[in-house]
Amino acid sequence: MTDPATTNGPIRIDAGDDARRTIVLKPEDNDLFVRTARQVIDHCQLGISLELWLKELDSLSEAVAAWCVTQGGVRSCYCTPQGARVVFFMSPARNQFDFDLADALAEFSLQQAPHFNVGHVDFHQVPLDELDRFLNIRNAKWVYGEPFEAHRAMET
Amino acid sequence: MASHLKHIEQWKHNRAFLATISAEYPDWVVTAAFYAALHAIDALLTFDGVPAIVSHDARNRTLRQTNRYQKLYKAYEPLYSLSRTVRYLAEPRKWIAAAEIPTRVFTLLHEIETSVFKLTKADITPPTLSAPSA
Repeated sequence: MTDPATTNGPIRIDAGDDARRTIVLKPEDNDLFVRTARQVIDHCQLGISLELWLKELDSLSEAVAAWCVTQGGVRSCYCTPQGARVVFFMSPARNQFDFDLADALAEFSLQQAPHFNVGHVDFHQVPLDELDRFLNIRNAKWVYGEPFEAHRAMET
Repeated sequence: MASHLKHIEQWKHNRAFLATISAEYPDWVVTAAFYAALHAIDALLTFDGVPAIVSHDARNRTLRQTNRYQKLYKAYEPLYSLSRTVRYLAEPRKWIAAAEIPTRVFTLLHEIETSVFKLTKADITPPTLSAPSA
């Protein structure tokens, strides 16, 4: 049997011609990735540059912090990598799940987060006093608002 | 891979369970509502021929990155986020107010179901959920 890798030749993606073209990738585990050619190129570039990824994460964190200021209702925000994604943990000001904030976060994750090449990004609301049940604070990046330890010190 | 109709059956199953949960258990109301929503969405994804979704991440990614599903994602994401948190909390009743179950949680579920049935052209009217009894 001939090897399709040699008989079919390479699949070429040209940033100039194909940037908006949809690429569907199907790995062995039946997962499905739908990307534009531009995103595939970005992923490859990120794959060879951890420094670039960290720079993108910093930019996203700054954008999230600025969004928190304008949005209001956010008491604290931390982010951390979890598995293959980056998760932002938002603690709402009134210490209850905030549905309006959740709606705004869904909008942010659709409209703004994709502009940053850090891969999959999730946003979750958690109570500030239980933040350490959901992430390792020591390994997390403080993004906005009240730091967790200061909050804990006030309560004790 | 389960069929579109099997997911609709499981949606109905979770829906029926949801209607039996007391307001004393907001964490389980949210969890049951979330899994009803999840099966409604998986019914749509199988109807559309999307290959088997094997994780929450894969489902979320598909919803987020496909124009046809973006309205659905806006209703699903808050329910997903809430369900991921509330069942791990020691005091779930502080995190989600009982008054917000019918006005917010059931509204999100209803939006998801309405979108799914519209997109699948299914002739199913989701039963109305009333506030859970205390």
